[in-house]
Amino acid sequence: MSEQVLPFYLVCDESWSMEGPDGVDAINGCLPDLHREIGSNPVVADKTRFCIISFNHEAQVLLPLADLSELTTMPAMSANGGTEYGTVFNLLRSTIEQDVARLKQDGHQVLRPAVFFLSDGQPNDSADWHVAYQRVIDPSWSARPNILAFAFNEADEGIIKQIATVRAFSYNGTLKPAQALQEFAQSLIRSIVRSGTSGGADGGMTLAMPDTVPGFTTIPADVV
Amino acid sequence: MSSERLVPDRPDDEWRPVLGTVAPAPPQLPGEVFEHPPSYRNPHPMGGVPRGLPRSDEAVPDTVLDGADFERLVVRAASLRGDEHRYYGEPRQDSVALWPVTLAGGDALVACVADGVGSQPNSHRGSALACAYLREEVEKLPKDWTWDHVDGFAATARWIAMAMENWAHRHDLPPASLSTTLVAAVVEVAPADGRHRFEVLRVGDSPAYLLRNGELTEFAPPRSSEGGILDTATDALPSHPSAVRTVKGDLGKGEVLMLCSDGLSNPMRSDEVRAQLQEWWTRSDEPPGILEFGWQLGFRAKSFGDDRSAVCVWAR
Repeated sequence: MSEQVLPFYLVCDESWSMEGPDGVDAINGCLPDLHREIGSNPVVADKTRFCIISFNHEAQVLLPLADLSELTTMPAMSANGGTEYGTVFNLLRSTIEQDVARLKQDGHQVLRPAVFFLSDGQPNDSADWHVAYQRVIDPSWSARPNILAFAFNEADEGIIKQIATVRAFSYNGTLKPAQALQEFAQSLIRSIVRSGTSGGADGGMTLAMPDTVPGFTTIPADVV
Repeated sequence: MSSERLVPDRPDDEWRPVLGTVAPAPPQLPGEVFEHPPSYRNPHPMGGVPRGLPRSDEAVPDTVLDGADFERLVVRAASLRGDEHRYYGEPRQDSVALWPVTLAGGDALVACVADGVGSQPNSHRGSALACAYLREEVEKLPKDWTWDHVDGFAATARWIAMAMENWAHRHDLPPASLSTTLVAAVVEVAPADGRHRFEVLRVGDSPAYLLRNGELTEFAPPRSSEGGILDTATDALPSHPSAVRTVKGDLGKGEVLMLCSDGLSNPMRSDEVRAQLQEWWTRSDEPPGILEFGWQLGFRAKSFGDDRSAVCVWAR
């Protein structure tokens, strides 16, 4: 039996600078909320899938693309290591490719995936990551995702703008770091809920994006 | 509360608790004696619950059922609010309509399904208007009209779009807020030779099918998108009247013409759903009653929460 599926990817920096209550702890604290809110909403639970990819100088799929209403536990992030973008974009491309292929093989109708990307630092591989990133947004790749990118603390606003394909957000200090990260998680929850439920401008399910996120300044994405 | 009151229809020995079980079975409420339509892939139990009535200017009922049994033609129409609109207390955006008209001196049936575009605030009005204006345009067709009119439907679509735009201006609304698809058929009610001629007009992704020899076949199906990401964009009225597509044909005894919204055609991509509908609707000697037809469209399938509408025309 076929289903309509909207896959979400949380791609989150867990380098050492994200350590503690003003870092990964704040996001870890919000993941159960995400789990609960999505799981209890029948409209969203039935058609969204959620994946967590975390990265420092390495990248790993922390939570393989899952139906949140079928999960009983959520993995937590843990900070250490440096920050590299090339590895995580390579992993993101291959993960989406495999997920979409598997969903299609199971007979599902797949909507364009959505990526929420958050980083708090400058990539150490500044010369190399663009190549991996270009493969993620390759216009000839039909499953290329919509990307919302969030710059936190020391992250370079200019780089985050390059990464976002639809909208970027930059931490502006108006909220404490932990609160801002909670707002980031809330914006992810709201986007999932509204994307699963509201028709897009063209009549189908599409990504519902936040216009503003408290604690962050909205910046238009660079046109790609 | 005693469990006896919860299960009034069962003899004592069936509901009496078994010693040693840990969790009690969920109570069987009296309403559950109703046989629910089929359910596919275990959709969320709260999914179909209508949690509110829509706040809209005019009543948009949750469900519309209609039908008629002509001597040699049976028609059934149903439009059901989707699980998502029910859950959020929002109006059904699909419309269906059936009208008798006189065409070229003979009786004809006008049947339509329109699917208001999801994000547009007035698309439930738009879908109803598209159906109503279609009927007006069909009634204006000239006396010498023949069942070879498909080219003329391009003008019909333009007039419908124009009438919708005028309506929007009169009500001070952006025309695009009415955006809707439309699939409509004009069917001969009592043909001399026993084959019911029909013509279909379509704008957007609401399809038409022919059920023949137990198989539902879509007229002019869209090419599947390369790479497999679902393309949700659709042409719509009043913006794209030039996107009109037409088809003509005839219905012999035992055949069915089916028009629907993508709230039905999307889950129909599953073999189980399609096979069930084919089985129900192939029995042309005994098409479903009006309520039964609505029940058949009321199946639930995980992740398919869109409004669901269809018209079936059986030749007999």
